[in-house]
Amino acid sequence: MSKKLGQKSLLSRALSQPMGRFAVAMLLIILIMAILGATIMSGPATNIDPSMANKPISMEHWLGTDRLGRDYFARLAYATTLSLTLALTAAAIGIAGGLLLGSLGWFTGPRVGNMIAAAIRIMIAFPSLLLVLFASVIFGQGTVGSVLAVGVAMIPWYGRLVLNLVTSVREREYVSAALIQGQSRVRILFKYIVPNVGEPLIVNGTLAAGGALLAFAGLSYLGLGVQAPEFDWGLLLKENLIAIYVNPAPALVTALMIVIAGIGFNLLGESFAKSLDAEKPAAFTEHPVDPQVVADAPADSVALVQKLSINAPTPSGEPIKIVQDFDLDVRAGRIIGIVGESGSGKTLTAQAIAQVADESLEVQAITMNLDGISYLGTGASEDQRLVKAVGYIFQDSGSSFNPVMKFDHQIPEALRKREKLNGKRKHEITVEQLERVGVPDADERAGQYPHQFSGGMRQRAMIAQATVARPRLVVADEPTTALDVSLKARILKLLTDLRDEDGASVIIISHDISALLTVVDDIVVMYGGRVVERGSAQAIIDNPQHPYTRALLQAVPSMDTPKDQPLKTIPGRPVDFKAPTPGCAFANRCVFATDICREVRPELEPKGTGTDAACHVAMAPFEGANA
Amino acid sequence: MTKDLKFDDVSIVYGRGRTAFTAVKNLSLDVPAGSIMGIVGESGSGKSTLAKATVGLVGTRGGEIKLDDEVLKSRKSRRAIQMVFQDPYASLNPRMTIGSSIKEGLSVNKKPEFTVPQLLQLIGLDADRESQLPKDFSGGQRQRIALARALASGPDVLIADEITSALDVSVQGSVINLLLELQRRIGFSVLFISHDLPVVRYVSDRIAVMYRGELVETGEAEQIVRAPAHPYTIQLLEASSALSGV
Repeated sequence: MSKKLGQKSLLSRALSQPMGRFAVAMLLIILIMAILGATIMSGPATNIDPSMANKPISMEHWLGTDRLGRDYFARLAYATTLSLTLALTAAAIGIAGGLLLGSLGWFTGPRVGNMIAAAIRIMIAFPSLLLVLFASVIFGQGTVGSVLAVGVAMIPWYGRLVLNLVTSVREREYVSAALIQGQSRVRILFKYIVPNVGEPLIVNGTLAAGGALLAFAGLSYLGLGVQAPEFDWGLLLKENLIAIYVNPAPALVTALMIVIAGIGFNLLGESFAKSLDAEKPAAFTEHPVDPQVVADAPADSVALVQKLSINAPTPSGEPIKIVQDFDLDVRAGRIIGIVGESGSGKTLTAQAIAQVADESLEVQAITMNLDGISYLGTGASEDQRLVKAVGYIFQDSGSSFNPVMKFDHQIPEALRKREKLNGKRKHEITVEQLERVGVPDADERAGQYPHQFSGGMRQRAMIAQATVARPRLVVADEPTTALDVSLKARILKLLTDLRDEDGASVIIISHDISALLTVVDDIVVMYGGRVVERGSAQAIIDNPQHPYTRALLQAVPSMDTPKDQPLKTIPGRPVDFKAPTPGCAFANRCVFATDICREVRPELEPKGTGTDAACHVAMAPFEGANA
Repeated sequence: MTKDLKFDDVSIVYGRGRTAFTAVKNLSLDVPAGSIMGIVGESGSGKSTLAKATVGLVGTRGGEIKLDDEVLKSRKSRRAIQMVFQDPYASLNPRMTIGSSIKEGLSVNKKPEFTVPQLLQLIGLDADRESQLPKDFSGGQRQRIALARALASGPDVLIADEITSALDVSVQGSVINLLLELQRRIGFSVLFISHDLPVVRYVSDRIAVMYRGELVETGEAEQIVRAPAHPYTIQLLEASSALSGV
């Protein structure tokens, strides 16, 4: 068997939480009782001895004896054995049946699959208790009947879970890849699908076992479950309740056992579920920044950021420094491009500027002004003035809209706080915005849902949404990356139109420097969380001074790239934020790097060529992007 | 020795009746053994659908897809065609070590040319990383691993569906260089699907341009980009050159 590498088992992760340990302790009590019941306690639980009848609580009989002289504690242990066995058997039936039913569609093809899904939905519509009672009528009273009843009633419920999980995974590309290889469907189910949905199945299986235990106690108590002379918790509780005025302890302790088991299984399930997303770090507390003397912001400054740093908390306590010492001054009507590869910190920087950064991140700065207002440490996301100051266009238009809301309810969202809008006005605004971004048939389109729009159209709708309040600054995160060339050009044109018509400033973030060159005024190149070069777009194209900027420009093939030579690449690995180096972050990938580069971090300084660059090396004149 | 891939009057339709949507219309195309055919077109032009049909993930409604005159029907016969997908984060089983993922490809290959360590070496990864999970690798490395998995089955044809469009430009070059290097070395043919014209031109011997499910133009890569004949191709090239400010 292959070991799961770098991954602790679900149980050990659950055990690392107090709730998990508590749950396991409770279930251990149940388990010990069950073992006792199956072994040394089975005799005393059932042997009738009139001479021992109705004994009070003593050292030999912890809960006393009943009117036939049987030890109450032994009977409780004995009942525990049966209850646990029956509950686990029923849960196993439910889980096995659910797995079979839920995964059947994977083998049969879409038509039968849809029929199975419909059947499951119909069965789910009935309350599960009703199903249990219905099934127990079919299978008859008694132990076997009730096991089948509880188990079968669980099948549709668990089946739906399996169906949903399988559906979520079966379209993944790794499943397609296995199909293309000609792997059998059974093998794909067990090697590709089940491992990726196993954890929620275990969580819900645990909850199901708890549910089955309680269902049994209920059935037996009602007389529909286990029949005398056999007995489980439900029947025992019923028996002991009769004697509650003589000796209350047996009934109460039996009830307590049922409660412990119910809570134990549920808490264990909960802590499994919790440990599944335990990877997420806790929210970070806001740190005040030392007030320092800051030069007054220029009058036409739309966004002024000084010494922005962003840290991510880690479980070990030492935060990862994602962005450091970032300065930016965006003047009215300028279009700025922020360029860098994955992990350069460009997206988080833009999110911090637009006040939409994730709350788990620690954002610090000396100045953080938008439209002349400081947003330092304000937790400003609710601030109404912000709506006028900044609009944010997210990278993934597919998941940024609410899928169940029509556009004419989402696009005017930013205006909601400013003025009361009725449905008609919302629709008008939406139509106007959609027309502006070039969505055809805007009147009809405004009443549609996000899934009715193509990717390019959704991207435009997002621009319409982000600019509905005519913000002074529009931030667009990789607005064209997922789009093909013709759409790319149109979206970039739209962003420049925003500047021309509204006088808005625009920040565009991209990994592809060449995609920006035609539209931006200034470019900021980031590497390893710092600005390595900035300047006008023209200066950056003509004579970039940082080796990384040059490498980025040369990495993009053009129509003239010689086909007989390999494409230019940037060798080496991206920055490891967990192991920061004292020198230049790019040094280990840089062909020009010397010892000083590895030891002393270069400051951003004017290079006399129109750009500021953070580099120790005096660069030779640039030979051109595709040289 | 690889095989010729032939599309003969292929149509692909999604759905039935009034909601039916023709994604690919009467497409005929030859991909000679050992060559690289680039396929360009905008989103919705049918290029990815064509890829899926070629590997058997969607069915055709008309026409035939042939590998050296053998009509591709059952799923088994498609083993000779492998695919690398767009999204490096979805194309590897997150619960399977990369060594096992590649081994899955070898397991269906009757005459495997390579072993797992050899394949890892081919894609420039240390052999001792075999037992690591996909989460330990970057996007570019994952695409390399997906490439190794596809090659493990010993395909005659490799379909590369937008394999670099989710990658940083700085990483794109190394994945393309690797693809071309392996192609020259092993000799499989490639169906290279992308909307990035400069990249397609660089990679491909010939280019096929698709528009709304139809093939509008095919030709030598240089000829398509220097002297396009179809209005749509001209439009595509203009949009592309308008973007590259360099």
